[in-house]
Amino acid sequence: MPFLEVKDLIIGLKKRNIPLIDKVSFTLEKGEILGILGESGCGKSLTGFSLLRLFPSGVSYYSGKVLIDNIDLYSLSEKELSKIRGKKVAIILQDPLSSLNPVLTIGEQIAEVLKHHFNLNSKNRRERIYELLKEVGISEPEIRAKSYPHQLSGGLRQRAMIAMALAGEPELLVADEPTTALDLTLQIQILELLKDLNQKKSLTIVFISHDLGVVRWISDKIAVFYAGEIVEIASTEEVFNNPLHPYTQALIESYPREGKIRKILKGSPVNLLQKPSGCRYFERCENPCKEGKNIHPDLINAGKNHWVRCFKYGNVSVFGRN
Amino acid sequence: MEMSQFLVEIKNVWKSYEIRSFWFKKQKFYALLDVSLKISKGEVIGILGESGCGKTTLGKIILDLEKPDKGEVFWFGKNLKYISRREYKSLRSKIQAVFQDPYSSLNPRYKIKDILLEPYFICIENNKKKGLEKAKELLNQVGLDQNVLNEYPHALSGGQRQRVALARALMVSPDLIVLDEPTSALDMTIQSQILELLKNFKEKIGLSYFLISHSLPVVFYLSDWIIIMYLGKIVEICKKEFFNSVDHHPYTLMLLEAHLDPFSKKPPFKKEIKGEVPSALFRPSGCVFYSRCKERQKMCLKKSPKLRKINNLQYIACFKR
Repeated sequence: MPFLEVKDLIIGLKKRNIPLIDKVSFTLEKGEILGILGESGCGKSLTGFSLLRLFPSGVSYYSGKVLIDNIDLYSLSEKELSKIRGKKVAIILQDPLSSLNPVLTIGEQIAEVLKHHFNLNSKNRRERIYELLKEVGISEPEIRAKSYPHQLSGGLRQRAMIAMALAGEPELLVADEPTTALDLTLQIQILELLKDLNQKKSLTIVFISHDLGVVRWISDKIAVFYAGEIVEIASTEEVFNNPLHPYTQALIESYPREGKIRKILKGSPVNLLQKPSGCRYFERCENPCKEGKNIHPDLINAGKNHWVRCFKYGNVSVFGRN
Repeated sequence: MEMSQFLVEIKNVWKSYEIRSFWFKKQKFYALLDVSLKISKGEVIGILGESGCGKTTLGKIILDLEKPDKGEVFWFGKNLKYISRREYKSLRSKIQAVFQDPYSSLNPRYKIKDILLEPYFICIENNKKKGLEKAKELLNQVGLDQNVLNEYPHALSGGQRQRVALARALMVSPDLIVLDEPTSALDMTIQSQILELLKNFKEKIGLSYFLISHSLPVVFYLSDWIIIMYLGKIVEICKKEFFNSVDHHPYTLMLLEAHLDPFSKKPPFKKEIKGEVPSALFRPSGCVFYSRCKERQKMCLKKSPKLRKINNLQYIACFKR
């Protein structure tokens, strides 16, 4: 029984019938890190938010399932949901300055989470806040707990965010580009911290990023998104050593490597509002196949638990289409 | 009139800014300390550094958008302090800029046509027909269709806008373009397209760039020389070919270690990198990198090391090198 299971999840715009993420399915064992890779607008952040059943305005749930530890997230009431959010699954965001409350101290913000989920007296609560801050590598937690977000540096702010996310002792952490706004030497420290938490507490992490290097080294498994769907999902080693989908190949080849770019992918990502009926990568594909023009390929197993959405690796799904 | 071999030369430039805190107490901090560099024709200089290290300020000094507190700036061998208005105007168009965010650097109320023609009218000549011809030719070169001439910026994607920004800089036939994080707002596949375009222009028409970036692979891809800055100071200047070696300033080594290369063989997490860049308001005395340096000595706390020539390919500011 996998710890996290996402099954045919479709989420899209409320008014128009346009799915923004389309039939996304994946499973994750406890303690695994899944890296989600993709360009802007491909639905990677939305997938992250959907694991907490949080949506931006105008977006709603169509169909599919998200099972966290066998709890169906989309069948819960709001009240039940508030017991899950923060406790079972938490999120950290890209920009800590805009996602922390500027008028509350770090300590007060962590206390909010603790008050909601645990029944602690004020002394124990304070102890717990210091413990959490220490855990994420903040020295002098007694002083830092009393500071406001603007008084902290970028690295400390991101650490405080992680402390807040950990306050409910979640088992699943969604990290939405947590290091994109940080400097190089800070980024590696935050990644080391997340990797540590993953190993010590067997925290399951869904890590969303557009940076190949970051995803390569943090995750056990990678899902590559293109135009709202998964085009390839496999173990990290497989994706980097044996990429099958032409888009994944192009992503890897277009990364400047030793001062050279091996291949340049022409064109720009598909507009989700006018996506083609066939293969969504058809227009940018170097050698597109005939079927791709009108028929939408399914995710097929190309061996070794390596799934890819491309006709070149067999046209298996006869059942699905007829 | 003799022309200098350097497009831009900067000598011992200092630049400070003032911050007014809540109690109206003025605080002064230095963004640049004693920075000198030269840019030759056809060369690409890449500046690498973390946020707040003064790399953007240096770009502004080169563009003459900021005046230095101390020190001198030369354009084509001419000191900007003593240059005549007419000469200044003729040189002004030779140094152009492309900024990070293509969404805010193009006027939303202008059509692409007008965006491209405006610098041409001001700097070259007031001839609409010739200007439009040049604009069409440049759009073709940056890989855009002529139809975009009548569009407004909002109708274009991020990558297309950055191409327009590049075409606008090229409208006045510059010798040097200051690129301030030209690809960091773009998607991965678009980034490689723009990088290739920039490299092509460098090779075809001998354009020089002053490239400001925090991304190691981007700087490494385009530059001939790589300059590493820390807290307003240049700590190392290094020829690109030499960048893969192991003899570097301790900070450069830290950056190399912190960079996550998707193609390296060894996992990068060694837990050796600690701390953050200190605030420029509380600048340490002595070496700027003292607080985070692994190889620090007592003397580093007292004296600040000067940039020294190690060999023809490398200059380092460190006592131990």
